[in-house]
Amino acid sequence: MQDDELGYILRVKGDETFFRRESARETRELSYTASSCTGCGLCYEACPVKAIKLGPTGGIVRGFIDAPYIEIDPERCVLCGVCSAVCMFNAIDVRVDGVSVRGNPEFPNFLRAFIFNQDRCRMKDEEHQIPCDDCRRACPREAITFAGIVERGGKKVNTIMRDESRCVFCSTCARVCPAQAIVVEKVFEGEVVVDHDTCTGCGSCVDICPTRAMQMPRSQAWEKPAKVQSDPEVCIYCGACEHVCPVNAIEVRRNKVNYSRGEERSWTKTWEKIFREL
Amino acid sequence: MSCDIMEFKLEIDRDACQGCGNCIVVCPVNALSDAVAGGCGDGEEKNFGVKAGGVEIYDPDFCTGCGTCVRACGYGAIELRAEVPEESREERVKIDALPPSGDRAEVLKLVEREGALSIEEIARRLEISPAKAASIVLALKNENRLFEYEKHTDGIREWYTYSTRPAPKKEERAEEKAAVVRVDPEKARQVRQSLSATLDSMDVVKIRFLIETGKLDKAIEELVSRVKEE
Repeated sequence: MQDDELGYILRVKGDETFFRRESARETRELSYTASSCTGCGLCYEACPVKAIKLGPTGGIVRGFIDAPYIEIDPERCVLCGVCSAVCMFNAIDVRVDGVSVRGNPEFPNFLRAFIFNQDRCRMKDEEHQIPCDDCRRACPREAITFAGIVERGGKKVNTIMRDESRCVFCSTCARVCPAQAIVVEKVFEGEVVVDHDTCTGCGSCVDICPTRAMQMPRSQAWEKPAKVQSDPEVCIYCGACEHVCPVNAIEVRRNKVNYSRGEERSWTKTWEKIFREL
Repeated sequence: MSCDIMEFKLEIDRDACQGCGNCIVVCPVNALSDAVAGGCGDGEEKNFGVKAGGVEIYDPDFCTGCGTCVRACGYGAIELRAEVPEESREERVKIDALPPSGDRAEVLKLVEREGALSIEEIARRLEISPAKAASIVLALKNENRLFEYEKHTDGIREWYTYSTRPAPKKEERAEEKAAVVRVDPEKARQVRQSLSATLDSMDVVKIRFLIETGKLDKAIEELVSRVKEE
């Protein structure tokens, strides 16, 4: 791919990998931000040309290996943009003529929603002005910030702000909210199956889980080591635990994918197939 | 985990290793090989074991790089390291140094001919979209092929003209000082008043947040530019 006609630039700068290809019709560029990546391997599963290599995610998440979670081979990559559409952590962004694939109606995209009902949100104690920030404290991604107390309809209420780029739609906030003010629609529906005979309790999946859905129950010293359990309520079925497990004891089964078809294009059918096979 | 994995290596410092065998017991791959002995038995598919008072790696292919052994080692004798082959590094540099082609070459040629041009002018001359022109110019700037030459402003927006030569430093600074137009507080108040209707329609939460974070002035500038464009 070092043909001059296919203008081609690659740069690795800090934690950002960037490359671009130009043709007579359009310019496509890909940027990968290693600091946002959680090593879930969705892009590795989705890539139709197998251009993405997944690293030893367990060692990386524990800080023993200083490397990005994935490695993209620019010679294989065709910049189709599937990885950008499936990335739930906004780590990969593919732009066509400067317009991102994510949220673009020309491409199929994941459907997910965060609905915050301001009318339901209320303070812990209105009389003593004690605000409620349970969702902010519970958020595993630190995506929610407390935005202060405002007056609304003659009543003082507290408000929250959500960082769209950090939120992974895990519904932890919806679970802890005492007033049911938050509703979260997830992308995947499914289940995480842990083979407890194979599991050795090494804890890699607990370390990598981006939503703290994987938990290791406590066990006494004289007992057999505890086996991990997944909490289906906050699990986003990203597959990080499946890929990190050294003994392949975890299987993530995704039964349903919520996505929007977008406009009918030549690639729509292929993309739908990739989404359904995730 | 078998295919398509990045290269990495498990290294053991024989001098630091005390041969305690903690790493062998905790290793999940070892435990899989001999479940009863917890990695200490005679299983064949093994990652490592103790030999002559120190840990020795049997078969590096079994290691998945989970780092459990590194965490268990009390002497800091085990190290995990990612390996980037030297060849690929050289290749990357080579690719980076390729001359620009296609629209990028056209932009460079045009700017060289005209001296200094803004992004909008480049887009108009080459009949490409401004977004595309902007992405090309920014990429060329990152590669040090184009430089910011002069700063222009009309009080609300700011833009640069770009040139193939870097602007002379001292002059540029003087020009920059002259170019920046400070917003008159009285004028800003008037604008705020005239825009209060627009602000009322905005979300109360958002305004509150903007005031608290001191970003209101910036938001008003944005609104002004939007109203002007409309």
